[in-house]
Amino acid sequence: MIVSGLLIGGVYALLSIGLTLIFGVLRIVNFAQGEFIMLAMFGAFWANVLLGIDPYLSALVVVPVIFFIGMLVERFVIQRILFAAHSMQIFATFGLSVLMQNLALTFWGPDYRSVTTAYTSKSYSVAGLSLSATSLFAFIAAIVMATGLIGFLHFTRGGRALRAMVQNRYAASLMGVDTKRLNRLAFGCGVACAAVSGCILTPMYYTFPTVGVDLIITAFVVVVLGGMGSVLGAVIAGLIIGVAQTLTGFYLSVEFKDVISLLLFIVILLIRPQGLFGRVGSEDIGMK
Amino acid sequence: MNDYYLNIIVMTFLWAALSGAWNLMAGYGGLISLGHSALLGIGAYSTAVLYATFGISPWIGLLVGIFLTTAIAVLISWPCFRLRGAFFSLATLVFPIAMEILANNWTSVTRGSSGIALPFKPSFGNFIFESRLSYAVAAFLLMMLVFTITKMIHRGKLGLYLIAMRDDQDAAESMGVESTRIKLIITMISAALTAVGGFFYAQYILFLDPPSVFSINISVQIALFSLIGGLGTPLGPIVGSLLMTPLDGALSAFIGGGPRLMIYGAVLLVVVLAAPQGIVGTYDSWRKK
Repeated sequence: MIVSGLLIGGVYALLSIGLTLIFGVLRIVNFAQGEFIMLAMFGAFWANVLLGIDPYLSALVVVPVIFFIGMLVERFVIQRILFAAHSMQIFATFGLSVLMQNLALTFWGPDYRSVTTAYTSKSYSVAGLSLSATSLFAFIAAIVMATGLIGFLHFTRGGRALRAMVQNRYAASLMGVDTKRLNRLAFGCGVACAAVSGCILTPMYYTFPTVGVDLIITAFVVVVLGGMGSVLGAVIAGLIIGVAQTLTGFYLSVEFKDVISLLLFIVILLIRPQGLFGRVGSEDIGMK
Repeated sequence: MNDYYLNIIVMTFLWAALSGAWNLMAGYGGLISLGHSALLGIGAYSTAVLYATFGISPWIGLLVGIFLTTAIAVLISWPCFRLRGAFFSLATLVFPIAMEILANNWTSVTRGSSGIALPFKPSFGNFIFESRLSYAVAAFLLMMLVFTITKMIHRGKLGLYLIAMRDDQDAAESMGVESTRIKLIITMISAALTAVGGFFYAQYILFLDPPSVFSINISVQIALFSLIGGLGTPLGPIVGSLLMTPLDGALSAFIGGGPRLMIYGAVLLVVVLAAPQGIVGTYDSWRKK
């Protein structure tokens, strides 16, 4: 039980990493993140149905496409609201979310679709535990992505420039950091993370226009618990939430797992508003 | 005048009132709630359950609804006040989703997804009328109530505190504004007015099911009208609803839910990017020039 919770937690971590990256760099909460996941899932779904491509393999095409869409969105929407009032930032990304959701609804209909592959119902048994192949893959992908991102942020030139920009945008731009380009790159990478998780989720989850909302609520809870903007925090928080939800599903009812998320959310805010790995006051940073 | 047009008029006033109640928190206090559909739903369900299941007068239901909605709003938003900006909105977004799940599963009270139909027994005591004209008058009064309260807050001390806090919470606090207290007061006013809107909705539509009131789309609509009209202006929500509700009525007559909401999303995006002050705000700053 705990193990299957951990595996689901891996998926949540995966979902939250992109969100964390975008918030960490741009200080914008991307309400449309779930819709990028949805878009990727539909991409993987159609690639499978029309061309017979494996959902995991389709990531090679879907992820770059979504990355490019993300860059476009940054250019035409995010860039213009970067220094706008809070309410405007919220409504811009929220409007984007409503728009994308209903574009999908209009063109692809509200049906729940699923992809069946050879490994959909396959499971491995490790040390006496039975693990489903798809959630194991998702878990591994989450760990790889998080490690990669942390490595990039800490050990490469681009990563250092990004962190410098997060600390002080103005000073970084004086030191020759192209902040506009980095912003666009960060947003693109953030939604590309969403795309990766979308492709990985396709074989294990239903694909439908509002799937993003279902997924992203949990991801938001994870981001807050992890201390907004910390990648490592997001991974650990994802695992915690995964276990908590699995236990609720088992002892209470599956229906109540989102209610548990809400309760957990409020409890976190009461006891530790900066999250597990956030510095004190990080919840205020968005204000300045 | 036929019923179709009267219905649009009633809805215009009702949405203006709901959007106005939301505007108090969002426009003045900077508390962008995406959870107002939950407040609307709790208000509506309170009267509907008491009236349809227990035969208790909707007027008592109204009082219960106001009390319950305000209490829950305080309970939920108090911890959320620790969050600022977008994270507050995020927290409020979870609230209607949780409520919809609860309403779907708590079948002994809410009758779950099959919904509650309210018996049609027209009388003033039941707040159910034969003619839609009576509803239009009542909705107009509700809208004016919200407008008057907003106007009073706008001119009064509370409005100044709120705007100071919205623009810079730390500075306002250092000048002696008790931000948590101010936030609580405005949340209570907003929640109570939204509950009245919920009561009206239940007694007018006479049918409630979880998605029709708890859906996030309702929250979006409430916010959109204020945003188009002008955030933080007493007249903004009314202008927004006058413009959008008839348009929405015409739109939904021709096209289905998906494309309609798609247009909502696009309008939201365009307003934010092109005219973030809304109609009233843009007009005001144009006149001052």
